[in-house]
Amino acid sequence: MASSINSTGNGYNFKVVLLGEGCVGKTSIALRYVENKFNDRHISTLQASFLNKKLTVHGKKVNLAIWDTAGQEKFHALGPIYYRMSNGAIIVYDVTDYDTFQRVINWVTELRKMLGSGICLAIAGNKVDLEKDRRVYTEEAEEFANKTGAMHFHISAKLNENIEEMFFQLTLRMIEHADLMEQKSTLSRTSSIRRNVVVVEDEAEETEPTKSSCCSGSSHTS
Amino acid sequence: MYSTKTPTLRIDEADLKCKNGCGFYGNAEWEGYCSKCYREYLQKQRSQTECNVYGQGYDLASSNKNTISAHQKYEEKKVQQEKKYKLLNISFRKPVTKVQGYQELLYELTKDNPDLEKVKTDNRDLIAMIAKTPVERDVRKCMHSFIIEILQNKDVKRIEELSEITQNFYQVFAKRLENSAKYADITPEIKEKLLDYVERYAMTLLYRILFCPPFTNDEEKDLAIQKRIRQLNWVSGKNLECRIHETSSEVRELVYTSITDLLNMDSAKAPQEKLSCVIYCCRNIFLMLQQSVGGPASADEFLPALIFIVLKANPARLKSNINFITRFCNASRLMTGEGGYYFTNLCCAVSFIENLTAESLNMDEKDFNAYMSGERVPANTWESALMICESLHLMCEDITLLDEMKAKTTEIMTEALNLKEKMLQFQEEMKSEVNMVLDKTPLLITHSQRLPTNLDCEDIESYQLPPPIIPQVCPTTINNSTPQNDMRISLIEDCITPSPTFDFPSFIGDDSFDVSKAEDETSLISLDTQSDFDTQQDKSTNELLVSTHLNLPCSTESEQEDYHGFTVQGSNIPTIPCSTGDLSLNSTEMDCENYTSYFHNT
Ligand SMILES: Nc1nc2c(ncn2[C@@H]2O[C@H](COP(=O)(O)OP(=O)(O)O)[C@@H](O)[C@H]2O)c(=O)[nH]1
Ligand SMILES: [Mg+2]
Repeated sequence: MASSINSTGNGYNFKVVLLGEGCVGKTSIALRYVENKFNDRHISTLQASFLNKKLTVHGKKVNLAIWDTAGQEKFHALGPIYYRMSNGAIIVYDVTDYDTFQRVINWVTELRKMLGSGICLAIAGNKVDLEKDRRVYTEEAEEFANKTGAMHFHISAKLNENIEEMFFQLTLRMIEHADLMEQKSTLSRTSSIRRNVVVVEDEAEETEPTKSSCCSGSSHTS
Repeated sequence: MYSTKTPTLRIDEADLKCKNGCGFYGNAEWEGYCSKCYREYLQKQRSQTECNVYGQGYDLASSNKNTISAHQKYEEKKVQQEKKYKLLNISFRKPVTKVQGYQELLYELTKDNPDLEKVKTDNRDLIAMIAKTPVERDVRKCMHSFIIEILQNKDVKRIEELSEITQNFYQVFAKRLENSAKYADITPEIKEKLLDYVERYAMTLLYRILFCPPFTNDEEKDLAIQKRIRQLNWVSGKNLECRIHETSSEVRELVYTSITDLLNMDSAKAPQEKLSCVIYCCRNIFLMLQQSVGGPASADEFLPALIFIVLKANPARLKSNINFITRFCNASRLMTGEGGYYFTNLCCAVSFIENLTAESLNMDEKDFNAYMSGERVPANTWESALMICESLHLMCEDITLLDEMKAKTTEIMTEALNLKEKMLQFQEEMKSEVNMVLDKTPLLITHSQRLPTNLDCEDIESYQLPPPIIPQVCPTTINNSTPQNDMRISLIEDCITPSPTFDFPSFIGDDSFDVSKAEDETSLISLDTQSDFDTQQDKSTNELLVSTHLNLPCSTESEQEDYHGFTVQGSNIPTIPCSTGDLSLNSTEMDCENYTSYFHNT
């Protein structure tokens, strides 16, 4: 697996998937974050399903590849194909629709089961501009997030509320995790890792061993 | 298939891995399989229960009920497969691939490879830039050692291990580009290009070995998905709820283009070239969707459209291509980047097609089954046209396949003729050689060996005797006068010896001994004729023995006569012909060798 740390050593490449039921606002969130547009017909990108965002965190270059996923019920089984090798996932629900939160619970449980703490999770309650129609209560959502070691954010793609913050916090956590994995793999460098090293030569000691692309093992509760 | 493994990960989270050992994560909900293996497992199960009931409970929860017996079956199958694997492994594990073996293979793969030439011409600028620098040498060295490693391991390691070797190589090479002093004054863009070039070149070179290799079941899966897609050719855009405005000719044109792009994937060689085909295809799909949706399309629209395109294209060797990309494309490319996203969606589309049910098309199960069985056909004309399109493309594919087969058959024919000719030639050569050997061998055997050796022992002493008691100097005269009697005696002796054949090899040994040590004065053979013979041989070492015979009329005569006597006698004594037959057989074989070595010696 490729490292999430750039080969140049002073940057990161992260893959973030957007998960959640249809119509909760996944696409809107991605477009708001990358293009700063909402329900806009005049969007420069050809497509709104795969977006790149470059940012600088603590002087380090970070490239976020934001993958939108198809939210239709019939595609739910495909989730694992989407999120394999992901560094982070944002699981979105619509605060005005309790069923979408129910679905979030399923997603998070599945992700933790499949990837353990190898992935950084952020749960996002979208459409907080429709506060009056809220069906999902803050306490319940935050408690669940805490329990599963995920972050929780109240956002609105429409009003551009909290979206930058959410991506930034997630990025921070992914960096933290990537660094941790890097350290770990440097320490646990074993002969078995280098068994297949093809070009073992004078520079051999400089070559880094392979490391996981996954991030943030620092789940609070688990 | 999704087996980009990380050693550290495997150690830490081995228990989380799919129990099928595919390298992906398992899940208790999916009985410890990863999603893919679980789906495959389910599919197997389904095909075992009944292939016609497609609409049957296929979602994860309900299928748990009827798993027990099917699970056992699956386990059995797994054991069988493992056995097969072992068997294959054994048969593949040739006694240490010879050095010559893979060097030759490498030569064969490199020579006259138009794809490889194309890679080179495409990267002409890059090659020219690094030409004759330490960089070039180093790149070449790294690539060569990697290619050799793959060639060495191709028969002994599983495809997953070969994939790991490859991924490891990409990583190590990338690190080398970063850290080695040799690459210090090269810009990052060039490094990127070098990395790409190395991958492209190595994979194009190794394509024949790593694409759909016979020791995997890729081909089987190809055929399965192809059949499945053919069965689903009635599925329309409406079924998939994808928004394709088929009334617009522009949209139709884009559908055709994206189908063509996807079909091109099979003919591309390097993984990134295959990936490019997927990218072109998907970009065209987005263009098409933009027409239909009126804005940038999102994943919700894209995936159904891609599924539609895959269904209508029914690409050749779809699984093999996907597996090849997954295994041998630089994993960092697949993790992020446009190509990675589109490729992941393609995997999703294929997975969806494999597991498609009436429910996932929002259809009545009865209708679904009617379509699946071919009872009903879609009414939409454009869809039908696409179906025909698919059939046409299938025909084209078959034609190319037939052409290939024809070429192969012709090749086999010529090879067979060649072999036949060679065999005939060999037979001729053998015959003439045997005849040649037969011509000269038997003459020498009986006489020169038997009599001289016996006499020798006596002779050594007899020469030391005072002149009056020197025994008869010319045994030849005795032989000449009473050859038959003499022979009879010796032959009777022969009969007494338990195995008359024994003398022949000993003669051979003696003879070669004579030849090699002709000048040796301590030689036991000191009989007049024999020593004459020896000196004569010394003089004309390069000549055939026959010629020495001609040069020595005296000895030849006697031997000749003895020989006749031998055969004549042989027919008189019932036990002899049997053994002589044996002897001649033996001697021809051994003498043949012996003489060739003799000729080499001289
Ligand atoms: N009021 C409100 N509507 C939103 C917000 N985000 C998205 N929507 C609307 O929700 C609908 C679904 O959004 P979309 O991004 O397509 O959801 P997706 O299916 O998850 O990708 C669209 O009509 C959006 O306009 C939000 O923050 N507030
Ligand atoms: Mg969407």
